[in-house]
Amino acid sequence: MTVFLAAIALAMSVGAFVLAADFPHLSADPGGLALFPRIVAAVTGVASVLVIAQTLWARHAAGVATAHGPIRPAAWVREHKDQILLFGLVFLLPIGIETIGFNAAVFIFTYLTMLVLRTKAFTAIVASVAITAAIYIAYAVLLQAVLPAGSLFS
Amino acid sequence: MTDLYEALAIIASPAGLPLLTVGVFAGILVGAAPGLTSTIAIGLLIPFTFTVSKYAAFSLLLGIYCGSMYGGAIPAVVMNLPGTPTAAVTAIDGYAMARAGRGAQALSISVIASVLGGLISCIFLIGLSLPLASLAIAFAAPEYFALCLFALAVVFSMASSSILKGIVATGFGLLISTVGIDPVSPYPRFTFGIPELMIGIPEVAATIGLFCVAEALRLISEPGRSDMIKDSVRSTLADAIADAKRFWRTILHSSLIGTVIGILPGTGAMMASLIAYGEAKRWSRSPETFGKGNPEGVAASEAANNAVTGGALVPMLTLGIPGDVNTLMLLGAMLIHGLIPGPALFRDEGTLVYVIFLTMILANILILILGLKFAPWIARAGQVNKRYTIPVILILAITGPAISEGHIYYFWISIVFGVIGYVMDRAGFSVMAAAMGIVLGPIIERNLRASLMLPDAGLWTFMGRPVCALFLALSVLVVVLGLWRELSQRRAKASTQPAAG
Repeated sequence: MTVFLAAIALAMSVGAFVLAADFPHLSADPGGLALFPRIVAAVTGVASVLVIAQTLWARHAAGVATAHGPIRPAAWVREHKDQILLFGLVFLLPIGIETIGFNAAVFIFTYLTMLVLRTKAFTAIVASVAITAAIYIAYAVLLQAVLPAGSLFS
Repeated sequence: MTDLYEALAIIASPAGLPLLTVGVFAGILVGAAPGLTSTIAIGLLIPFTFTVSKYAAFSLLLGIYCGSMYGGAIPAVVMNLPGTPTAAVTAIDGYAMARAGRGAQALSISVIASVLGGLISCIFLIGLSLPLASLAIAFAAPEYFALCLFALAVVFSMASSSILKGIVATGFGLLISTVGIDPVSPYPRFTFGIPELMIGIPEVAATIGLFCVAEALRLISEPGRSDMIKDSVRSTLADAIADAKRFWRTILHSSLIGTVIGILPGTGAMMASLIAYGEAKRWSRSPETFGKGNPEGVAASEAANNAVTGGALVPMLTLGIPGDVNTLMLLGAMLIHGLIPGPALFRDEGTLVYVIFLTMILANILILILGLKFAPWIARAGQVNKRYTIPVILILAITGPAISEGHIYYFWISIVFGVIGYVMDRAGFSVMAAAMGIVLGPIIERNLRASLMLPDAGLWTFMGRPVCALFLALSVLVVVLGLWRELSQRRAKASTQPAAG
């Protein structure tokens, strides 16, 4: 995970450094638009390379690569099933709000999240209704916000 | 003086005190609920403050901030289940006391130490903020640049287990802050033709994602457990006063540690509790009883973590540099209400500054009343099952910024940064450092470029100004000390490994 994140940071830094070269330069602004992103990208890039090197060296020294076998995807998915399902639900929530409207999407999201967290179906329905109602009151009544009705119904 | 009278009138108004009481009580409840932290409570509440006055908003937010800092101690003592990470140190001796039938005394010490810690930090908040704000008027762009650099150096050196990882996390935050229209000239940077990215990455939505959404995702894998002490844990004001007299030295010492650590950017209450606990043990006549139910351990931890509240507000109010994650959130709330922290706040918003000071003092007094009266009840009420809290946190954290700003783009910002925060935390990258980078990035860039626009600008622009040079030297010192600490820890670990093997 560390190497993966450091590699992403490195890619981001290289990308930012290269893209910043095209930013215009104004004579009234000696620093320019590119100065700050390029300094940050350079420092972050070097630090990312060092993190990758440090982690790989530590692994090599501890012999982790040989001690552990390859990660089995099926076992990993089984172990992290709840997290994966919840991540999926989180990404579906805005899509649901845009499509079927705020209240329906919040109710379905709450109900499914509770089922993922092993709540009994009836309890989940009652709690979802209560939570949806409370959030509706908070947003629509207290904040007087206009809640999305959903593209299917509006 | 007019500002003070106005602030007193606001606090004493029919809505003022009840609102603060609600904030403190809600804060204690949130703090007592394992998994829910003050950061989550403040983050989720920020969108709800858009429609109320700035005074009401800060009464509520500061009430929650102070209340939740204490609330974590209740389940820590009664159930060995710290409501907040900072209360973990309190649990060491607090739960041992409760198991030995001294739960009431542990709760009484925790409440009086929290209150005194909070009040002592308020004295420093008031005493330091006013002169510091006057001093900060003399700060120009190079000084602000160096100050922000110092804040980032402290964060990535102290809030992270590895300095290199801290630099990567901070750099990530700083790079994210450069997305959108350039702050000086109207030119889009890193927007890739996506119109939404023109407005940049909104700090509030991103920090709510980094802390609240990520925390909810993390809660899924956290086991729920409870070993609640069944004995009566009710304590009285007389008990609390007696404890204050007995442990005044530890409370005072720990409060000073907490305040100083609070002032340092990015350090936070956990570090304050740990250091104060270690110091209390070092100076104690019976250090061997620490960890086995020594009341001084509870007093030290609670006084220190509550003293952080006042300390952390000093740099946030006077310089716009948050002292911890909670003040980072409060800074976001200030920006949303159109308030710019710094000397201008003290000049233009004197009433608000006094409202903040009075709120902090009253919040701590309310903690004493509510803590003594309702602690046993709060211990039970705080045990809300995570099945109910996780969906509520996720919905409020994801939809809150979007609903209040009225744009679907904010949904995705909260979600994407929630996932980023979760993954960063799992891999040991400091989320706090990334958040500080996002918030301080625009300020650093603006001041760097303004410094370079000064006549004859160059390296001497920064090194030739005493305050600026001092902050730069301090930044180097902090990084060197951090490196030294990390290398020592690595050496110590390496020397114990062969023996273990």
